[in-house]
Amino acid sequence: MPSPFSLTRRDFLRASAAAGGVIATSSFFSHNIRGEETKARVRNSKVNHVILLYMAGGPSQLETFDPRPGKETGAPFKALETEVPGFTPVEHFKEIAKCAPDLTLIKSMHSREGNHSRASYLLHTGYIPNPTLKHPSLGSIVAQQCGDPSFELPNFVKLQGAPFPAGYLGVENNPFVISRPGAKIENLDYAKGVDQDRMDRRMKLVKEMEKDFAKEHGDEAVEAHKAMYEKARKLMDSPLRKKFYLEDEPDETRKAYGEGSFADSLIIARRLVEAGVPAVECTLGGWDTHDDGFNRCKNLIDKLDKPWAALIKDLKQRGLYESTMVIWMGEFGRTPKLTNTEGRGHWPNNFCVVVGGGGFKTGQVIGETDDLGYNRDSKGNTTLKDPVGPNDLYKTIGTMMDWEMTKEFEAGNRPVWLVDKEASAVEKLYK
Amino acid sequence: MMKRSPLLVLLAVLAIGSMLLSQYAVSAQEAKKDHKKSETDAAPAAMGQDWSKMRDGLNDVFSQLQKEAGIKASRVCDDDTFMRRVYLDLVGRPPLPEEIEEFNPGKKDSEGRKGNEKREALIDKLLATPEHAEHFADWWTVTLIGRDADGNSKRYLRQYLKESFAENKPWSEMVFDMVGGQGRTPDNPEIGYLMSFENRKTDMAGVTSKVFLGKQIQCAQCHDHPYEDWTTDDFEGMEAFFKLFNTGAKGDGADRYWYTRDQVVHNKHEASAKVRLKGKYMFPTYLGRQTWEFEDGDNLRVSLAKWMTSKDNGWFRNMTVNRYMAYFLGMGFVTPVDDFNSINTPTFPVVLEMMGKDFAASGYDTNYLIRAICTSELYQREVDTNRTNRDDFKYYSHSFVKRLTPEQIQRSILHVVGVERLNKMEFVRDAETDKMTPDEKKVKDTNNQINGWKSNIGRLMRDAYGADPQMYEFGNFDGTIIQALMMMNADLMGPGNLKNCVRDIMDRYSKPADRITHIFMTVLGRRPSKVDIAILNGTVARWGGESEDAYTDLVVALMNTTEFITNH
Repeated sequence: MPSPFSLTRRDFLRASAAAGGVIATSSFFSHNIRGEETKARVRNSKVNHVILLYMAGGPSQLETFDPRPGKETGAPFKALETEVPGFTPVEHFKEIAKCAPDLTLIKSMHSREGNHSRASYLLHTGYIPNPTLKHPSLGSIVAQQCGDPSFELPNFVKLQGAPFPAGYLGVENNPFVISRPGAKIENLDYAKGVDQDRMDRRMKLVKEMEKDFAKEHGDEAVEAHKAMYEKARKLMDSPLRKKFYLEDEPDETRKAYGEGSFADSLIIARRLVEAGVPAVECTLGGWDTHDDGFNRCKNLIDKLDKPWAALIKDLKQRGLYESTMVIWMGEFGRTPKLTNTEGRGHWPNNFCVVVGGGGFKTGQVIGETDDLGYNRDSKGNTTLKDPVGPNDLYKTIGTMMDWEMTKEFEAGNRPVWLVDKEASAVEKLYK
Repeated sequence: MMKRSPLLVLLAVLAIGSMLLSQYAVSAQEAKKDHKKSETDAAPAAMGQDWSKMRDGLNDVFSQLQKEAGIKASRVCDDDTFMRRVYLDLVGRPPLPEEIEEFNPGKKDSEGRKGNEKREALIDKLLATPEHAEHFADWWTVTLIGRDADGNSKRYLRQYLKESFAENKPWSEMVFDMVGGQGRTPDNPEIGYLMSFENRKTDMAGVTSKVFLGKQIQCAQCHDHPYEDWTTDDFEGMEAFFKLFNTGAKGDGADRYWYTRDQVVHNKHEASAKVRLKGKYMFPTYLGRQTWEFEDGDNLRVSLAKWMTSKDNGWFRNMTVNRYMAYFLGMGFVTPVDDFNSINTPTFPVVLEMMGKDFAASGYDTNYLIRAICTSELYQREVDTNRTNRDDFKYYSHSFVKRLTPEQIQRSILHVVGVERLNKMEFVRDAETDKMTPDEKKVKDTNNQINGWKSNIGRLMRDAYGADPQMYEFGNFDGTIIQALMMMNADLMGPGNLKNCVRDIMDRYSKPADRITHIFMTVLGRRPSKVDIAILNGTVARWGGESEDAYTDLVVALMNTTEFITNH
């Protein structure tokens, strides 16, 4: 599909300049008109879905995947040996430890952004924040690149956490937000006292009013409005909407994923992916452990370990793991040095990201920190091996999913690219 | 490129002989001849005295430009269209039926005014309402700090803006307060602007340059700007003004307050901030490499605020004019509205320059600017085009359909369910017991319910569109499923909650024709046309005649039209 901004102000200004101030076409708004879409681009990739497990707050690498047991910077947690050398999560990751061959651990993710909102933007988009322009987040990019605009479910579903708009990719690629996984979705059903007949008669009147409005005021706004309502009604009436709910999920699946809203959101993510939704983001918050970090991290891992491992197994069983990337990350890591309240500060210098499925080469560890978990020695020399920037990760994902990375998109009147052109892909992640 | 330079066109217009225009043109000529001459010196003395001169200038310049381009402008819109347009723009909601009746579209108003005089009076009336201050506070809060900012910063900034717009405080003073303001909440709500950045200095520099000066320097935070003169030095130079400043918070619960803390400089080198990329020291530098002069005891932020809002700062006044042009006319001289750069220059630089000077000379009176723009023919054109101006996206020969912002949609929905009427309900206290009378209780309950709806709609619109004010730019009508679902199915739209509106109309009017007309006016803010009446009558007949359900369905259907979420 074309970019929603395929004809933008800049084109208009160029055209306008060329035609001496008056353009010869009235298609200034044509990027909104559904009728003008060209044939869908065929991607050269078998990876069609991404499930992002977003750990809001910045999970400590030392309490998760890069532990230093017995060292002054370490937590009082044991490290588990797994089938994969170097993949030694803390002891609370009992289930995920068994999945090591299906995962790749990156220990050397790094950035300069130590502020929650800036870093969260960076990890979600691959770009540092810029008030001039809003970059789309991973889910929106995948929705736009891999989704079918006429699909009856939304192409990007976000379960819990703050929604991240699609920026220059246009609001149709915004996430469909579900704040309480499994609960009744707001406004998806008719209001009290309204049934289908009553809704139909209302909408019939709307249609009549629209005809007259379009005649007087042009049909650009009316067409966009119609598209929005058609999509909404299609969703309301779709049999696929049951994918948002858990009622028809067998007990054994629910048992396998465990309890809690994060577990529920992962089951829903799997159901949606199975139904064809390209992008799902599930959030688990609470990782900003400035104090009492050991207890808090343990509790969070208890909510995370079982469902995450169950998701991997489930996707594998259904033959979806190879076409679905599952990415675990937060906005940064935590300071190796502990505070006197058993907490840690923000630390973007080195932190962990775990990826799997979707054609990633798994069963490996990328990057290494030093003995105490630092990225530099006492003289300030870098000791971090194989550093990976968020933009590099995006380049890798984009390459593997065959995004249009050389295409010039438009934001306002500036050229932009889905992925930072300076980034380099992490080749070790390729099979 | 353009056939004629705007200056030449203006000089041609001189022959027509508008007094202000000749001043505009002459001063432009002088400014061009003598670059060194300060811009304020070049501005004619009569500027800033009379907004109608600016309005006349706009009318004359653009009718001449349209003629040159072979364009015949659309007609001036009728009173109904004008009224709905100006209500949505100035108070963020359509007019009430009683307000429409008072304005008496197409005829004289109660004071015997008609035509332009009547429209000017309406603008004056609206500018003086508390609703206008609230709506503009909403608009500017989102423009300045977005929808995602921390709730406390938003609350204080909005309060400051509301109070300031209510007293029509000069824009230069408001910006000075927001950028240079010091103190603590709740006494200094203006610090809400800088509080919102949570001490992210790069964002302070980037956003401040963009929203107030129209200069987008943020890309230069990590590399030299690809097609602009901005380098990382420029960015760091601006950022340095915020380096010795912090916001913080103290206290808990109701006692919690926020404050600013500045380190004043007693030594020039205290003002230098370490440049992250090149390892060298950087002094604060005004954008465009204008030197900051060290003074003992200098507060860097205050120096920046002074420079930004000084009469010599053309960027500041032009940016403001452009934003108001874009807000009211759907398109400014520069698009996107806050992106002035060497390849994105104004369509009519001289007109912009002159309007900017006029605005500055008025003492940065935004109401002066609003009056000039909204009473101009440019603002009052119909959307409907003719063969010659169908493709005009430059000469303001017709109006554009503008999409409402989430804040306007929120206000419009609350308007339908009767928020203004409910807000006017009076509290009656029992004199003896001083207890809440049933009426008062009803008002309070209703207010609580309204607040609940308000935050519900706000949250949904936030989910639907995200926090970014830029999503609502000209020409983009795309919507989201979340919005459509809300408009079709939200409890607010259920028959129970709309009964206030429907029953009120049924109580007040007994004839079906009057009821239908008033439902239409309540939702869409204009009198229905003959076609509208025919559609609605036919529909109600088809639905088996009038009933509360039928009227409720009319209300909901009208709320789900394109017209409800657009301004035309």
